[in-house]
Amino acid sequence: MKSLLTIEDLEVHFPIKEGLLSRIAGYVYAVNGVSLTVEKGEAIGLVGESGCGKTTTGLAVLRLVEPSGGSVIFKEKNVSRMGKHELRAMKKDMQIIFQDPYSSLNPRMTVNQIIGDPMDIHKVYQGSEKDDRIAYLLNKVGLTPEQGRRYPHEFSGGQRQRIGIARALALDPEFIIADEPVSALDVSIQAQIINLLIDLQNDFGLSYMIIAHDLAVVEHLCDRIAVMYLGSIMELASYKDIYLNPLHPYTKALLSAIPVPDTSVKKHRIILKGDVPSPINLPSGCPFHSRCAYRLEICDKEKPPLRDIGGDHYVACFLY
Amino acid sequence: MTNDHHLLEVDHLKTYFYTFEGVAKAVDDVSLFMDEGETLGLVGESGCGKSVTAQSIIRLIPEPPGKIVQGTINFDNTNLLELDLKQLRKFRGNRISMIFQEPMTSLNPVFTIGNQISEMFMLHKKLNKKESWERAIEALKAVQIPAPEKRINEYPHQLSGGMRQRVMIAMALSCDPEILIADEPTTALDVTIQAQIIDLMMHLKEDFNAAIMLITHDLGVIAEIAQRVIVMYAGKVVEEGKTKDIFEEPKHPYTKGLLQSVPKLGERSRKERKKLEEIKGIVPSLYELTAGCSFFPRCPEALPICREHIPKLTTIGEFHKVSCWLYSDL
Repeated sequence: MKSLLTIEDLEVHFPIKEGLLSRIAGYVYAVNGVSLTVEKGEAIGLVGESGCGKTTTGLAVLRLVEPSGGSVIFKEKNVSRMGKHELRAMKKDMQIIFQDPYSSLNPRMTVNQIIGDPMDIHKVYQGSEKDDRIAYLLNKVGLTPEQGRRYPHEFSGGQRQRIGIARALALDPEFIIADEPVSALDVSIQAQIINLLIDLQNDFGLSYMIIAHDLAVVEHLCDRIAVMYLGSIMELASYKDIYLNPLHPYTKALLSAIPVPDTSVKKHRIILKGDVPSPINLPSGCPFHSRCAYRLEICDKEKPPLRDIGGDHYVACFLY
Repeated sequence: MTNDHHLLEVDHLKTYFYTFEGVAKAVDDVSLFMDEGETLGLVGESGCGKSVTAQSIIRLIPEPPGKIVQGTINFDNTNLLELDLKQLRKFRGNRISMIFQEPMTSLNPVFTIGNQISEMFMLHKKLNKKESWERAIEALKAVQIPAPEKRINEYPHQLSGGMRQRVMIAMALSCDPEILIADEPTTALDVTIQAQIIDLMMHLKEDFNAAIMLITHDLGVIAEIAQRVIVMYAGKVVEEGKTKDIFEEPKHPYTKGLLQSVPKLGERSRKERKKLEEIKGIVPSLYELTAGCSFFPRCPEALPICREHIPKLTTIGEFHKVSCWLYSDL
């Protein structure tokens, strides 16, 4: 069976322009050769620290930023070569939920308008069907149809995120990209949204790409997880393998760095030296070699490929 | 000096903000203490008053609209709330210092970090320029900034987020404070950098023997480094106790809810996916607090009395106090 989404060697480089004539002075190498598949009904997680290219990867899949190279195949169609109209039609099946529920909703539109807008644009669910659909979606995300007449500022952060989710669901998509869906919310509200995302996945058979820096949230939500560093995938495996058997030195350090709210857990913390290198001057070889405690001679000369070491556990490291 | 003498004692502190929308009771009758060299965690969600409590201690509340309307803050037999600005400077930055969440906005962008650190020594220790500069280099060394002699001439924008927070820590610790207040010191940082900064703070704490008040919403950070925890909700202390007691035997329904609502790293992999416990409803607005317990509208174990009367902080074990009608009588 073909995968729902196949990303191959995706590259996104942003030009840095300088001076009056906007001469290109260099590039920000945000995403460098990411390959990934998403199966139907699967939730895949992209994790990593800020600047690792996880959000850019998500945006490039939707062509909200233009990829510089590689291909994105969604439902056997090449998204990267689509024209305007084809792209718009494709977006019916692929939607996004943003991080900030405050800036991602138009303050001048009522909730009904916000959720109904995609239906108008794509000319589906018209007339009374549309009202029914909006009421149904509001119920699904835990709001009441009466609240649909209100404006975004009348809602709390968690409720706004529910509105953002209802909007993403408006066209009955198959695949949803959620970019840090809970990180702007208070701790006690995060659980509500996480549970909602799981319920909706079960109800509608959705596939997710969850982009987050919080590894505990990603573990809870996702079937497979890709750990990214400086625009490349370092390790890709099932959530169990990532947490119980992490192989890449970066994954190990990342997991050990996370404080766990449980006083009975004692663990050994790996402290990484230094900062993440700049994506403008990418290090040669493995992007992680400058901070890696296990580095070999080859590591600063050649970039290790992402290889399957058995059981669908992929690692980009010369140690394996 | 008696045994129950604490390094810092905050008593019945009330800090209100007077705005057009009404009076926001940001800190409403908070009492707490800190002992020498201890790490105290102050935890709660946004708007619970944890930062305002800290800002009240070093008198950084903007007046107006804010005002400390009641309470005392005793440090070394002095009530900090009664001092004038000149007297206050002997304490602030010198014996009690603070680091903030956003290291970019809390450093001055037009001065080099050397200027900013050496100023501390000139102001508080009355050293001359050259001595201060040398001490500033030492301070940068102490926070493990590589090539401090070179870095000291740089401006904040030339440093990464983690480096800036190190500079903030260097400044805060420059005068050997007895108390270091750290308001979300690692929230703006990535996890691997957060690990570096926490590790650094814990090492320095031993070297300097400072007490740390760590303010955060991250229960994980608290569990790893605090000895004692105070949980706040809507301007009030709802529970306080030793870290182990709070995490292993939480009593207040809010504390319990908070601990059960966060996914714990590795739990799904080791066991199976459990549905997260939700705390229903939303954090109340500080303008519209109910007459009784502020957690009442969201509480799964609420009693009739909770609607009308505010529960008092009741001692239920060694250092363990909870403010809930389930554990106290009228």
